[in-house]
Amino acid sequence: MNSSNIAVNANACLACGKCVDHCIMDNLRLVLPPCRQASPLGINYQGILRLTAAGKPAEAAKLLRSCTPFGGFLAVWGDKAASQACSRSRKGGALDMARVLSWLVQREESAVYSADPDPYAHSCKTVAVIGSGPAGLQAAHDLRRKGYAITVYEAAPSIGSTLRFLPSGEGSSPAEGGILPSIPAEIMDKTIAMLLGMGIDIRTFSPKGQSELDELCKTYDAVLCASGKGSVLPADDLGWVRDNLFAAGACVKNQKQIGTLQAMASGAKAARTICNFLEGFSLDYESDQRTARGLERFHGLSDAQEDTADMPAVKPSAQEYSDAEAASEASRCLGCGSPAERNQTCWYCLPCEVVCPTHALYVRVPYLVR
Amino acid sequence: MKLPIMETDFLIIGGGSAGCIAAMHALQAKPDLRVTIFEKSDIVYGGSIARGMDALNIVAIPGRTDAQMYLEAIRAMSGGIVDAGPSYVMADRSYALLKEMEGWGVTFPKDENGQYKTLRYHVKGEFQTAMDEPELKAMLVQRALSRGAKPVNRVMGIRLLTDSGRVAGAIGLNVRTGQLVICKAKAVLVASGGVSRFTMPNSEYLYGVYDYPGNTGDGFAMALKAGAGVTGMEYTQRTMLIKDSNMPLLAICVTRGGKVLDCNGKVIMEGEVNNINAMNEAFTQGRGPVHIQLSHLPEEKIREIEHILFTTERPVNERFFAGRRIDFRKQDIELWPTEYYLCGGHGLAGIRVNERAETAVPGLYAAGDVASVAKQHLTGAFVFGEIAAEQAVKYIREEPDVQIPEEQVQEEQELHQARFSSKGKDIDIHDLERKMRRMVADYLVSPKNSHKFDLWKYWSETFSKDLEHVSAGNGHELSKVYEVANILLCADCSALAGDFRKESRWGECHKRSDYPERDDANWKCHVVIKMNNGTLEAQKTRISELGEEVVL
Repeated sequence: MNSSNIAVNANACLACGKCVDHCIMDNLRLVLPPCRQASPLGINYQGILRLTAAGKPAEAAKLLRSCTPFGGFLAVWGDKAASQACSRSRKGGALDMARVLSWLVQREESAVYSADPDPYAHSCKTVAVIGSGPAGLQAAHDLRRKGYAITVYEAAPSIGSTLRFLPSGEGSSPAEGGILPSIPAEIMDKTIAMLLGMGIDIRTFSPKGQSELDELCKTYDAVLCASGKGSVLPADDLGWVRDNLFAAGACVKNQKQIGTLQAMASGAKAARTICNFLEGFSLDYESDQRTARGLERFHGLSDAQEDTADMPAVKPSAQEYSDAEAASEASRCLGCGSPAERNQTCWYCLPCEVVCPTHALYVRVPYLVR
Repeated sequence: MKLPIMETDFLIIGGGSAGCIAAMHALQAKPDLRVTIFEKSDIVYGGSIARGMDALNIVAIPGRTDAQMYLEAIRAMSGGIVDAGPSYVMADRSYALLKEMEGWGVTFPKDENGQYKTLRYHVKGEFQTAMDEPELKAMLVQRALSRGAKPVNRVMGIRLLTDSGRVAGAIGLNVRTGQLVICKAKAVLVASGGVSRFTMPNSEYLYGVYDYPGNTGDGFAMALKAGAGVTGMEYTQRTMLIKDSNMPLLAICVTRGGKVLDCNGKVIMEGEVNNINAMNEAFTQGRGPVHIQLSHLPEEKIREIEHILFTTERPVNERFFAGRRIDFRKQDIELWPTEYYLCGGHGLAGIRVNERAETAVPGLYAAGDVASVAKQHLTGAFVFGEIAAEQAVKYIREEPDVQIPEEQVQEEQELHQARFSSKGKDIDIHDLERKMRRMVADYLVSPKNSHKFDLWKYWSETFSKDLEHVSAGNGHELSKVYEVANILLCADCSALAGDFRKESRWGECHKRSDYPERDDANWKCHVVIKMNNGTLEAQKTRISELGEEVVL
């Protein structure tokens, strides 16, 4: 029996969650596709693949950019955890997301590396970030997007040197499937140019030691230490150290060795905590992103998805996918994620339907009212 | 670590029509002002209008109508229980509002002579001005946010904070995570809507109500606890709308030539005002259900009506009628009474305000459906949103800083902790709400009498205790507990005011079987309720004339 007031066309749903975000009765929840659930950076692969399959690479690239500033990196590394979680991995083989991303990044370069300024956010608050590794750059990016003025202090002569020259066996973890390859200079440069284009002030040759932290904490509204394995700071789960000092990535005391993607996730989390601190929320405010954004775990394939015939991954005819091959591979996405009615508070007012970018959602009048 | 406190200058609770225009105007007046908006839903579409609106019900267009004429109309339509100042000021500023909205790009259709299309809705004067804007809410929000207003989505206001009698900020509750937000502000505008979930609708679906179901009297409850007065709580109103769907339609049809018929086919309303009493009478005398007939109208008019119904206010109307296989060219539309609700936009219930949108608490303003400006509609929400912004900017400039009262915060934190659990609690919040709304319908609406009000007291105490046994395992459920507690407090106010006003007035809105006559000698006054040490107290308050101060 399906008494839900919303009908979702699973073949069109991007699992973007716009309907959940805009529901004025807090009625909807988004069931996360397993790939996004597993992805350390929470990338919405379903949306990217669906747009690719629909022949809309520009929109797919825009979506990728909205999920991460590091689309170029993912095209090199792939997203092992997300691939392993793909429901296709037991039905014809997992989606070749790395290859699709690689095709997308090459094809839609300007969108993937778009500086993407937020039109509404502006703030006179300032944050210093120490270190331009994965955690530091992710946090700097996220905080800049919130409108703060960001200064990144990097000790080395070049930005993101740990990413450029990942020593073998380091910067990665078992969850990421072993060793991540170093980022080619071209991709690194484009990513850095994008971050600079957002107005992030990155200063090289600027080592900041423990002794200088107090001074920085006085100068800036908040300070994030993301200086890597060299230093150690005792931070809590949210990345808070003391007063207006925060830490993220490998410099956090008492933790297992973390990989590059986890370091980015740690930077993102610390950025949220800093934002809460600067805006006057409790530090853990909406730190549980799933509850705050109305996201739910995936509970297995639906009957319709189970029925989909097994189909192996598309093999590229050349080194990279062609447009047609990418679309064909993307169309293997089963669309595991979709919105669902959870709270039975529907007012059938339609914003969810209006904001749906693919018209995948249709609101029905509740049975009692029909 | 010390208490995390969000600091702002002007806090607006409720990002609907009144809240958004207030944010916009405050920032227009002072671009560097810190303006924060607590919005229970998501601000883009949150609020009673949700999307768009088909008319501004009150516009005094120079040369055709004026504020004085509006005052006469609203006095007649409010049984004389109306303060002159606020209604006059609203009508007086209404044309400038229309011009401002045209500047945003809102369309007000004109006739072949270049005149605004107006329709007759009030007892005198054509004040209702046609408007065609399905994206009105999104336009407003864009204007407020682009000027720098900060929305805090999914946060409902649960408590106003006061510092030696003046407002000092508010506490909000995140309706998904259940976390508290403490905000310090020098001025606060409450614009959080009326009480839409007061009794049950005929569909028996909890949220199948006419007004936006997110409006649960949060502002009434907060204002009372902070020391402001509420009034008009005995004005328990309902309207006649589409059977089961309770969606708007009546004014749109009647003002365009639709006829309302009783079961014998006798016309009870045609080309005249929105006469709810005539329909109620037909209903109570057994001549119902009443119908709206449109089949006599030319195709062009029917298309105009369909266009408005199916695109602007509640576009889902189209699906409802398709589902019931109703074609306006052939079938009449069956009308039934809606649920009862309290609302300053359509009725008289709300926080007591003067023509400066001030309440009895310094620094606290109220606008929109939560404020009592007789039947102000969207015009009132906009005009008083603007007025509140102007006053708040001035107040913030002139008054010294405030301190957050920690003991009030602690008190609220303790209540929050007690409510936010499911351990050993065995009442489902939906059950409690359904039962409570049934009792409200049984005891607090017309025909009213003292015996019923006495019986309500038992249920009021019972529900109050029951709320302590409601399971709240997540933030969403917790927010429902707060909502239901607010509806309950509003019901208590309605019971007190209804019992206090020992006369009948406003037709079905306040009909007492034990005092069946209107008694102007004793009751041509407001009934204002305030909270004194946790106890509700009712008092008579005089009606103010033009030029007199409103007694808050």
